[in-house]
Amino acid sequence: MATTRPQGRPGDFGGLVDTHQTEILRYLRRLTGDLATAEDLFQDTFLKAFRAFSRLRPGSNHRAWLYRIATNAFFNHRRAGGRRAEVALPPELPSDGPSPAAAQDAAAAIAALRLAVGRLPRRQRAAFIQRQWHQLSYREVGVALGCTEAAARANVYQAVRRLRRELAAFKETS
Amino acid sequence: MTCDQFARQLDRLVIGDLRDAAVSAMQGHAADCACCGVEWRRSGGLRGLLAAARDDDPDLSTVGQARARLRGGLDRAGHPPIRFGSLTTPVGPLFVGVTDQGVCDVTFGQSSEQAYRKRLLGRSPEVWRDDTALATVVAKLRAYFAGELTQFSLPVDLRQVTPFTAKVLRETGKIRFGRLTSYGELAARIGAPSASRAVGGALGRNPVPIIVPCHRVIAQSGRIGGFTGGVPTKRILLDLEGYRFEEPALKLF
Repeated sequence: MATTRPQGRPGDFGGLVDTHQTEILRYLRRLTGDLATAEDLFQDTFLKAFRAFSRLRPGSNHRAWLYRIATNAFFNHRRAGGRRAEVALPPELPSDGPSPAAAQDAAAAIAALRLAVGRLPRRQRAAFIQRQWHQLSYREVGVALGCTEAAARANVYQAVRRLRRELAAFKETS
Repeated sequence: MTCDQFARQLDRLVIGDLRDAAVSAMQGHAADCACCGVEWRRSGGLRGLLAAARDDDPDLSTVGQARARLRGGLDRAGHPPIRFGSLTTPVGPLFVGVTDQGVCDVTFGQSSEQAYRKRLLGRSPEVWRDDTALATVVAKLRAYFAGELTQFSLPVDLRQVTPFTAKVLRETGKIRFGRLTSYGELAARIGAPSASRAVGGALGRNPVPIIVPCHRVIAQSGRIGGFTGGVPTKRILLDLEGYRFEEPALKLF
């Protein structure tokens, strides 16, 4: 007799959320540059996922499927909200530390990178973040974007090319 | 390696798609060519920056709160946590589910607990057996089948059905033990006298049979009518309440 609310079980929707909630929230945060928006999209993503979950074929790639729902939530949000300024705030600068100047340089470089990622066209941005920071295969990026593996690859490379161009000034620092 | 080949591989180098041998070949070329050497160092810098940005990401301590909000969102969207129990009755095994608002499901003829749980999981992401929480409901159902209880007085959760169906079911809930009503009469009571067919449809979608006594609604002709749990079950329930429907049905009115 179980009287307490159980943890999600593998194969259950609850188990799926347990497994992927952190990476999906992180992904949405990287996409939007904003935690509050990411949390809203997190709700949209898993509500939609729940409704579609029972129709999901056993053995399908749940992870890529969740990225697809999250990515669509992001695209729809952009459409609904219009084109909003998406400026990732630079992280707080450390007030003290072994080498404030070096730390500030590093923080500024990271802030510049985040700005540049935030300026990427949305498909390129999604593809780049999935591949670079979430280790999705190109096949999975294709699932998440609803395109072919070749198109997924092209989106990632175009994003890298743009970043290389925009961040040339920071590139020789390390 | 030519400078062209080197340049074409830079994007793949940065994203980390190249094998070690290909990286070594680029490194070798960069050592011999001043222009490509600059690009090599810049790419290395960008790779370092990408790794630093990954490591610099704030930890998501709010994921627990986001999960709690998701629970609330699912609840509001009609997918509340469901606890369930079961009992054996003269009409076979009966499974019963409750939410924090009341009884949300009564099911006849489910083959197994696992199958029942799986079905509820289509409606709610959180479903678990909880005999303690179900004790009152189960005791009342047992008493009903033993002929010791004629009125359940249990809250029901009808959020999963349409407003029309809920209206029909609320009216159905007022039919007392041992009383019968026709589809047409019930339609008239909810102010839609011509909707007896729709009323029949709504009763067919009753998620909480027995507790909302849709078995007390029969055809105008005196025929027993339909039942989600099967007409034989309806016959047993009505028999329990003092009515005997044979095949073909007796004229009652």
